[in-house]
Amino acid sequence: MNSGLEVKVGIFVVAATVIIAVMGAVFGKMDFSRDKGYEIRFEILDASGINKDVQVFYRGVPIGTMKDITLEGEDLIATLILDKSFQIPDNVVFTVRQRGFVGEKYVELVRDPQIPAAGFLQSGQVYDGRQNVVSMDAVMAKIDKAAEQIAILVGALNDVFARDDSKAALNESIQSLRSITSNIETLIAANDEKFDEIIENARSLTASMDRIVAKNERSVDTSIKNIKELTASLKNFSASIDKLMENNTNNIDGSLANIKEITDKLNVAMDDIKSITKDLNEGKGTLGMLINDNETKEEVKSVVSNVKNMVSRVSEWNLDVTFGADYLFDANDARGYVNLRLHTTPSTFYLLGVSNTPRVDTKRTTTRYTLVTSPGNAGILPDGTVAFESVKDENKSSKLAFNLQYGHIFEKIIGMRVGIFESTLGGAVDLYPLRNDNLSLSFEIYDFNSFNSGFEAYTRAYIRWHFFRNFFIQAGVEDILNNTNRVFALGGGVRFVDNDLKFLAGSAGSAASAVQ
Amino acid sequence: MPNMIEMTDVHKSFGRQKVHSGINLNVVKGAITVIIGPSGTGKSVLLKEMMGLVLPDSGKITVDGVDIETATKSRLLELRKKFGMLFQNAALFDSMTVSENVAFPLKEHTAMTEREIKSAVADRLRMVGLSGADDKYPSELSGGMKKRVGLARALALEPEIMLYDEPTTGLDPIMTDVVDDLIFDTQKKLDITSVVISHDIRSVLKIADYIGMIYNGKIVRYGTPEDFRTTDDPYVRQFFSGSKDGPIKVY
Amino acid sequence: MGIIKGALELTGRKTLKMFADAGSVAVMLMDAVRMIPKRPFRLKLLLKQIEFIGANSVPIVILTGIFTGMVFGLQCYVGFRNFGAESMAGTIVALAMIRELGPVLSSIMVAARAGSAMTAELGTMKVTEQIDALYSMAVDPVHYLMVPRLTASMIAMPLMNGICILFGLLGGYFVNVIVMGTNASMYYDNSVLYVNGADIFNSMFKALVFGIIIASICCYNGFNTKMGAEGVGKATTTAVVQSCVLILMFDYIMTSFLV
Repeated sequence: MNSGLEVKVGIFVVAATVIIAVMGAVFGKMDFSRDKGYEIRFEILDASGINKDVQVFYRGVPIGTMKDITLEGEDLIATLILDKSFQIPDNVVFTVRQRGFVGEKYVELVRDPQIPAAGFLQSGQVYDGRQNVVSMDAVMAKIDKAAEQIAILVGALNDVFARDDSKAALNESIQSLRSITSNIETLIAANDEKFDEIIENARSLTASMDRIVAKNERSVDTSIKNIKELTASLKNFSASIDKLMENNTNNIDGSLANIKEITDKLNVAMDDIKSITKDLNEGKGTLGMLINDNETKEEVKSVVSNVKNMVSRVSEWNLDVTFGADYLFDANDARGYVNLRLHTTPSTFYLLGVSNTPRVDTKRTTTRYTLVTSPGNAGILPDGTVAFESVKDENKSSKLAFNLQYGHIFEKIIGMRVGIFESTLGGAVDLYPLRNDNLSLSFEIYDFNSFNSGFEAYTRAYIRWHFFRNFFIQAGVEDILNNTNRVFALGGGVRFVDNDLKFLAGSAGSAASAVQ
Repeated sequence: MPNMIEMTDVHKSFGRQKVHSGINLNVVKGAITVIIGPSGTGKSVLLKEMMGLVLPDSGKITVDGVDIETATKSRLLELRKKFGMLFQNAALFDSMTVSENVAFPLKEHTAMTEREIKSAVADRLRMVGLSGADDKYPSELSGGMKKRVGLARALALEPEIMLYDEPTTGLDPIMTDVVDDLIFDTQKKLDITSVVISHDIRSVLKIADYIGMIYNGKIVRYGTPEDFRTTDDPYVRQFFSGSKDGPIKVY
Repeated sequence: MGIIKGALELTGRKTLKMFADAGSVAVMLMDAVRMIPKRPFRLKLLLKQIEFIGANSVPIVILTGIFTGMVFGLQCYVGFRNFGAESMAGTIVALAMIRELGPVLSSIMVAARAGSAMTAELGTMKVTEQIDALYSMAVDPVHYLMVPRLTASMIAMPLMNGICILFGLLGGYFVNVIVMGTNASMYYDNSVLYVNGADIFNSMFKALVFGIIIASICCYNGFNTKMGAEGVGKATTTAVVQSCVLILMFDYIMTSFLV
């Protein structure tokens, strides 16, 4: 028989069947896990818009589907199938919501803050869905209620300010503030002239010093003259300061007295505020009641949570730490480094790190020995002539260097870094062929003043591969542009990403507490 | 001698063209009956009617005593197994090799093993003088070779009735002789009832037991070769002499 | 008068022929369906036909699917961008590919590629008396020729449909997510959300029916080829045209029943 034909047909049939089966599973939303979940029954008021198989969410997480809606006598029962891995508190309200462009309906189980949860939803029981029938009337009623509360709040504020003592206290505070400001103003105005004088003196002093510096190489006489001049200036300067102090003793005293007065007044205001706060805390007065009221608290909380959301961007920041070491073959040396990378968004990051640079750079130290006049050699050579130089070359093989870089990744595939590379200015290009961190090709160029290379920069290229999650190996070439110093490097290391760090911190903490 | 096939007053027309207008013909069992006649007189249709491939408009055809028209489809299929037919252009399956063509009826209708079929095919091909052409495709064969393969295929099931549609047309004289001998020999060897359509007067006279001449939708003369050789029937004489002058009109 | 009479006669004759043909196709199809369970099972012929109708048509169906999906995805993207609902393109592409485009396009491609060849092959066999030869060897041509083609179509068409849909979806995904940059998970979620298992099943059912249409129309035209090589060409054209028209007609009819 023609086995090629059979194989071909076999491949075709099997492949296409698998395709159809997978599509059926994906689009049929089949769940192959053995645990089908648990059934929860809710008694609801209205099932409009929802039907079998709509999704069920809890705080935005899909937790199951609607299995059925049945009428049992007068009761409308919605049966949900929830995933076994989720435990839902039993104080939830069965809420129908809609989303998306076409307004698709779904069910959200919303926690009711007014009722404490007695436990988790158990299968087999019928729970009261406590479903709100959302209608225009209900919405209007809610708005009315809100308006009412606003009116109460305004009224309460009026009450507070209507009280004589608080009114007086507030007035006093405001007046005190005003007088403080005016006092400071007068103090400055009164001393304007004096300040000008001080500044003038300081200027002339600086000018004198400039002249000294400029005429540095003139005769000793000139120097002495200059110093005299300088001293005179200094004298003038201190005299003017003295004068200022003398003239203003009264003013300063007055200012201090004013400040004391202000403080006293503030104290009184503080007392008043304290007493108001106390009233509020005790729930006295309408405002106090309002603030102590739970509902208001919740509303305030929601405002706070909104603010939190704005701040929560920060919590999306990601930190990872890389410890690594490279062995440089020909140089017989190694580089060790610790880099801290802070991702503020998935595509931008800041890199802060330390490494010991193994760069085989030659440092040339030139020491100049200068002749000075001494009794023995007077007249032989003029003073200040360079007598000889000592040149000393030393390999700065290993020194601590800093990395501080800003990086941006474009389209997940190519990244650029600029900043400080091993304590020198530089830039780098990173390529991520897999569009993720697992494999990267990097080219770095920095240290444009590199002393001994024919080309005035240090370059390195390396490829890094992350395996397992935390570990990586890398291989590369260092100082590529320099024929003599070019070396191959091989290294590896460990990287902790955000979650690892949290985990490590957490386990360290628990270890510490365990020890205690 | 009993009759294998009996055709009584068979009429057939395709559209407005009348092909048969009252054919009466008996095919004698175990003999070679040759049908002669000018081209386009429905000789091939006659063979197809015998097999039930084409049903007559009216008239009766019986094969081995079975009425073809009233027979069920399965009975008809059974009946057809008695037939072997060599088509005018051999009608080989061009998607199959020569040996597959010959093996086809064996595979379809016998419980023979692969090996038995192989030897039977080799046997048939040797009989028609085509050993060694097993793996060729029909498109690689000449007309004469195709005919011989068709013959081998038709004979494969050792049928009781063989129908030959112009078996020697387009063959060279030597091959014509070979095919004639083949028809004659197989008939004598296997005691087959044969119906042959032919224009070749020489081979007709050589192999025929009975000859029927068809013209204008009717059998105009039926008899032995001896009768045809001696008769002064103007149709027969014109046809045998190959002249365009006579009662047979050439349009 | 003569012209009117002639026109009426022609119309009548054509209509009658159409009904006669439809009846003949139906009778032949019934014949073939009844013969499917009959021995001998011609497994090798079936495999050959599956290879011919199915496996060999895979490349063209993949191309059709991928480009249809891409162009459809692009149009949906452009259209939905006006509402800022680009991620809904996934839904439309998935629904359209699965419910309509997959089965219709794959079967039209198969009709054009495999159906035409089927008719040509059978037509050639008819005019060279090979079909008569089958009869003469007591082999029913419907059983020997049509049954494998019919079963192969019925098996292969849903599979081709699956491949076409998959590549259509990939094409749409490519254009929307990779080229246009729609959020991948949103696109995927929207694709999956509005399509359910019944859609896949209906799609496969449609493909199965289209497979039957292709096989029966093409076999019928092949078996009824007349007059030599020219007849074969005519029969092939007729078969492809009839198959495509019937596919579209049955698509509407089935959709109206299935939806």
